[in-house]
Amino acid sequence: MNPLTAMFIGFAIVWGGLFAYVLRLNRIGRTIERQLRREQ
Amino acid sequence: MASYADTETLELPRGFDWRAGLTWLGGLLAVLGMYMAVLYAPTERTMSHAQRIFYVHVPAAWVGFLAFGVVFVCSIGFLWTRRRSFDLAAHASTEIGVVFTTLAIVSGSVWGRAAWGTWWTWDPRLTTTFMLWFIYVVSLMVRAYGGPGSQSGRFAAVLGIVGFLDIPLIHLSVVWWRSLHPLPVVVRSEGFGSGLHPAMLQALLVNVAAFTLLYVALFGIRRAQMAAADALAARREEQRIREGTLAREGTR
Amino acid sequence: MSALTAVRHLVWKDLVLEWRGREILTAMVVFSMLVAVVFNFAFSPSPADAVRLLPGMLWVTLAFASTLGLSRSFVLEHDHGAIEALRLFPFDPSLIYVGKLLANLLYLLAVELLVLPALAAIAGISLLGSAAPLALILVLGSIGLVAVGTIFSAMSVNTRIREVLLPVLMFPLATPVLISGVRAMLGVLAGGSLSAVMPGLRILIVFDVVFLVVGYVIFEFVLEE
Repeated sequence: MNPLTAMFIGFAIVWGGLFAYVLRLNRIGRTIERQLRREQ
Repeated sequence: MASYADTETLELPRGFDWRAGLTWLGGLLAVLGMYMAVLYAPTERTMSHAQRIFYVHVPAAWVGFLAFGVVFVCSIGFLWTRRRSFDLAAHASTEIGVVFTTLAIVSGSVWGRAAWGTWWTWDPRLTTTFMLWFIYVVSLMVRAYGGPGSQSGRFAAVLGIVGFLDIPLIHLSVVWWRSLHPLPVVVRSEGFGSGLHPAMLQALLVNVAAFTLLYVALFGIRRAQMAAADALAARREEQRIREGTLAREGTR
Repeated sequence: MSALTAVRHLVWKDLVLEWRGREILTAMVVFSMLVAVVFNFAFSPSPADAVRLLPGMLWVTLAFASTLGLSRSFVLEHDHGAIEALRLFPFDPSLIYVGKLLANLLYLLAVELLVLPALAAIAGISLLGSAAPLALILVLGSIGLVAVGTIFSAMSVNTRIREVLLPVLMFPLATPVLISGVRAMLGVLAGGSLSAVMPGLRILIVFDVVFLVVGYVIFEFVLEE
């Protein structure tokens, strides 16, 4: 495999991981907010 | 004294989760940007593939400065209106800004190693970014050590304003200082002999857009998180007061 | 009582208090001399090196010495509860900024007057030839240092780690002063005239103006409870 393609795939994996993590954090945040709304 | 009033009844998410939406959009653009940076953009003449780190370094530095601009505006807003939402926004932008600025410095250093063989040069842009990083970090320190909530928020706001106004002066002074010991001109700091090839410009712009969107998404998420934490703390406070410990009644 | 008189009283109060104990000035001068000696041992400069190193050593020394004076000037108020009294001050709170700034500027200038000739003598350099340009650079730079330092010393006096926080807050922001001050002095000592170092002087002047104004405007937010 061409090293550039390998580099790109590496980037995509790292980016994908971070991105999934951010989405997860966002989901947690929204759950908390929903719960707060219920209590208000 | 900043009031908690504007975060006690949280404006809660209904309907479309735009934060997730922006994250998706930014993420997709980031992947596109990486593709363009690594596979689409032509190889640079003097530095070959090592130059590609430029497509991470420049957008990261740009977002670092953008985030500080947001800190500046929110700091003024906070001092002017005392609304805690401005303080939270400034705090969130500071945190995210420091992350992107760190990325900019590290990538800049790696690029310097590839281009000039040394891990660090006192090149004006890198130095100014480094100073920006320091001001960010000090701002976070002030929030951590600065005393009770609203006070440290106020101090961090002052720092945000003063720091923002200082950055151009720092840059000018480093540029002037540098004129005494100019850097080797073989490779200019952009590393380009004759300006940007259009495909490089495209790749750069896509990456800038991706990073900016991700900044906005992260900012929104972090700020909302802080507001929720605030509201939770206020709720707990209220509960403790209602349950009534003797100590509290007297001071109510 | 006019604003000018109020400021005069504030400065006079600080100066009188300081004169009674002379703690701040002594600390600043002794500290500066010590740092100069340490630098000398650290670098062992030859006479040729000394000219190149002097401006840097001087400005680092002054930057640290200024934090001594700056932090002390608010700590005294804070620890004796005098800050409350200051808050009751019937005039614009920014005048307190001006008063503290002037007092600290005077301390710093006094220290420079003592330390610079001493440093030059130790290093074996004659500064008389360029005394006026050097003085101008020193004054402009000192104004910059205290303009920024006064704001942050009022901030850091409230914190648990006040002595450490002040330099940490101040130095990143004071870098244009340090960089331009050193570079300008290097230029002057290397035989240049003031016009050769005009860019630096311009930076110093802009810095002073910007931060005097910003400090003046923003001080009430720092001082309030």
